[in-house]
Amino acid sequence: MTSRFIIVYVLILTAFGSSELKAADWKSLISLNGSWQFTVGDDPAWADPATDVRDWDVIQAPKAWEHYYEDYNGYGWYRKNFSLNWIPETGMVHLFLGYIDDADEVFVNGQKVGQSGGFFPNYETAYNLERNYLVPVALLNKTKNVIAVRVFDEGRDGGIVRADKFGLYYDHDQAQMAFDLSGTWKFTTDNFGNMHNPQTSDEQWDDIYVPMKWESQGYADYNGRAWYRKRFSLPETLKGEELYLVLGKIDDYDVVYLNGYKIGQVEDLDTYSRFQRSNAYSLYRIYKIPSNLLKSKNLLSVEVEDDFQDGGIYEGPVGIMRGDDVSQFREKIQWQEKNWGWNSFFRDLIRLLD
Amino acid sequence: MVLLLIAHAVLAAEPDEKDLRGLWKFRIGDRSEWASPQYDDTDWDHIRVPARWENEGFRGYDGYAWYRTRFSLGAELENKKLTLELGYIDDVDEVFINGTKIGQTGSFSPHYTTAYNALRKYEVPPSLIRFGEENILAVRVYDSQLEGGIISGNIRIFSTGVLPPFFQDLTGTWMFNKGKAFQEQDHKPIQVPGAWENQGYNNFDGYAVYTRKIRVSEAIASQRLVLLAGRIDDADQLFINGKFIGETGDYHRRGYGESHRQLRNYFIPPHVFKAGEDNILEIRVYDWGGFGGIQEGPVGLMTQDQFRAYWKSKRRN
Repeated sequence: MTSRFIIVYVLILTAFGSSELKAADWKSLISLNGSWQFTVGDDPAWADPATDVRDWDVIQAPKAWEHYYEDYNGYGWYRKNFSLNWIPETGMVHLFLGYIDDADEVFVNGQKVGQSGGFFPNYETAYNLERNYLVPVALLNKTKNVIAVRVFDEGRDGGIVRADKFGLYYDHDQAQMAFDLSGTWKFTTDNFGNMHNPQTSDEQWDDIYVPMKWESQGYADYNGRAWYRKRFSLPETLKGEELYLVLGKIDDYDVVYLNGYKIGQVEDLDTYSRFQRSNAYSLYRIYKIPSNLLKSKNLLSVEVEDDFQDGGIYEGPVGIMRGDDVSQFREKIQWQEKNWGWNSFFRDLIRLLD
Repeated sequence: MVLLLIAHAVLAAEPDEKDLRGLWKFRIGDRSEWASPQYDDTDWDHIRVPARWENEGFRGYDGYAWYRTRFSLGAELENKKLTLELGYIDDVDEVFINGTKIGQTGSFSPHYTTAYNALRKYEVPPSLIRFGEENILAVRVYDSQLEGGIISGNIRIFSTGVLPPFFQDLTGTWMFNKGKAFQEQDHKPIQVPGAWENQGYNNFDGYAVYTRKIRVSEAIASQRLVLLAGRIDDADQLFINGKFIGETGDYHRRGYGESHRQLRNYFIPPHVFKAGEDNILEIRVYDWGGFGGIQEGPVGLMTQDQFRAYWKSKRRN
C-alpha cells in the first residue's frame, strides 16, 4: 500500500517536471479528437474513401464504444475526414491513435498504414500498446483526407478507448535534418556473423520503420540482438561538409557501421549500481561521419541489442546533420537534460517499486 | 423532476409486461396432446399459479401434471424481445406455446434430474405469438417428492428490449454432445438458450458441442452475415461447415476469465454458407465450472446490414 502511494506521488511530480523531457519534439498537425462516423460490422470496402458513410452513426473518440453500445463486442469501423494547413515536404508524419481494444488496422486515403494485434483466424489483442503509425507525407493532401480505422474487440471495453496524443504529429527535430533517414529500413533478428559486411545480403530481411520500437512492428516481446540496414546517396549540396549521423534514441545499445567501418557505439556501462539499470536507452546518438568513408552509394548498418521491454531505434530524429546544426541541436538536448537528474531519479525509483 | 422521470419510467415499463399470475387449468397425468392449442381443457380443474399443488387440493401427489392458460399480448409487445418467466418449478418442466416447445429445465425420467432451485426464464420466439389474439401456454411438470408444481416467483411475459431482426432465429432445439468433437451417435436434443445443468447434464463441466443444421437462400449466402450467440459459459469457438469463424474467451483452458459475461457476435464472410443445402453450425464450448453452455440469448442469424441497424437502434448515449 505504501509503495502505491509513493508511485502516485512520484508520477504527479514527474508529470509536472517533465514537459521538456518528452522524447521527440512533437508538433501537432491535426487533432482527431471528437466526432467520428462509426458503424458496427466489417467490410473491407469501408477503407475506400469513396464509400458513402452518411448513414453511419456519429460517436466521440477516444472513448470506449460501450459508452454508446452496451455490451457490444466484435468489429467496428471508425471514419473521419480532415484537412491540413501544412504538410512537411518529405518523409513521414506520425499518426497517434492512443489505445485500441483489441486489434486494429488503419487506412489513410485508402492506403493501409499500419496494424496492431491480429484478426480472426489469427486473433491477438494489443490493447496495451500505444498506437503510433507512420504516414508517408506523399499520401496526404491539404483539402480532403479520410482516415478509416477497423477495430476488433474480443470482450469488455472496445474501440479507441483512450489516448494521450490523438492525431497527426511530426517530429520538429526530424525536420531539422539535412538528409532524412527516417522511413523503411531493412531488419533482421538473425545473426549469422559478418553482418556488418556490405557483401552480406539483406534480400531476405524484413522491412521495418525507423524510428519506431520493433514491438509495434511484429516483434512483440522480442529481446536480444537485431540488425538494421539503410542505403542512401547524399545530394551534391552536402558534399565536403562536416556531417553527423543522428540516430535518435536506441533501446538499449548499438554499434554503427558505415560501408563496413565502425563509426560509433553506445555500450552498457558498468558504472551503474545493481539497483539501477543502464540509461543508454535515453541517450541521443550523434556520430561524426568520417568524410573519407562516404561514397556515391552508402550502406549504414546498425547492430542493436535490447535487454528487455521496448527495443530498437525507437525515437527520432534520424538523419544526417550539418556540423553547425549539430551544435545547436546539442544545446537543445543539454537544456532538456538539465532536468534529467531529478527525473531519472524518479524514474529509477518507479522501476524499483514496479 | 426526478420524481416525474421515475413515474414516467414506471408507467413506460408497465405495458412491456403481461402478468400471468392467477387461475390456470390443471390436470394430473401426462399426455402429449395436452400441449396442443386445439385440445379442449374445459373439464380440467382450476389451480392458483404460483402455488404448491399440495395446497390446492392435491395433497400428497407426486408425479406428472399439466398446467394450461390462455393469454393475449397487445401490439406494444410486438417486435420486442420477449421472455417468459415461470418462477420456481418443482422439479422438472417442459413449456409449450401454441403447441410448440420453447424450453425445458431439469430432466424427465429415465434420466431424471431435479431443477427445483432454478429460476425459469424462457425466451419466447415472437413467431409463435398471435398478437391481439388468444395464445395457449401449456406447462408439463414432473414432481418426484414433497411439494410440487409452479410454486413461487414472478409469472409473466415481459419485454427485454428491441427484437433482434433475425432472418433465422436460432433459439429452440439444437443437438448436443459432450466432448471436443461432434459425435452423431451421442448427440441429443437440447434447448438454446439454457444452461446444460438444467437439461440433464447436472454437475457437468468441460467440453461440449452444440450443432444445428440450417438452410439458406443464395441471396443470403452471398451476403456478409452475423451470428449472434448470446452469452456462453465460459469459452467457445464457432465453426460453420467445418471452417473456423471465431472464438470468445480461452477455449483451450488457460484459465478462468470474464468471457461468460460477454455477448457473442460472430462475423461470417460471404459464401461460407452454401445455398440450398444443409449447413452445419457448430459451437464448441468449454465450461470452467458452475453453469455451462449457451446460457442466454439472443441467438440467431442476421445480415450485417440488419446487424448494423439493430445496434444503431440500441444506442444509449
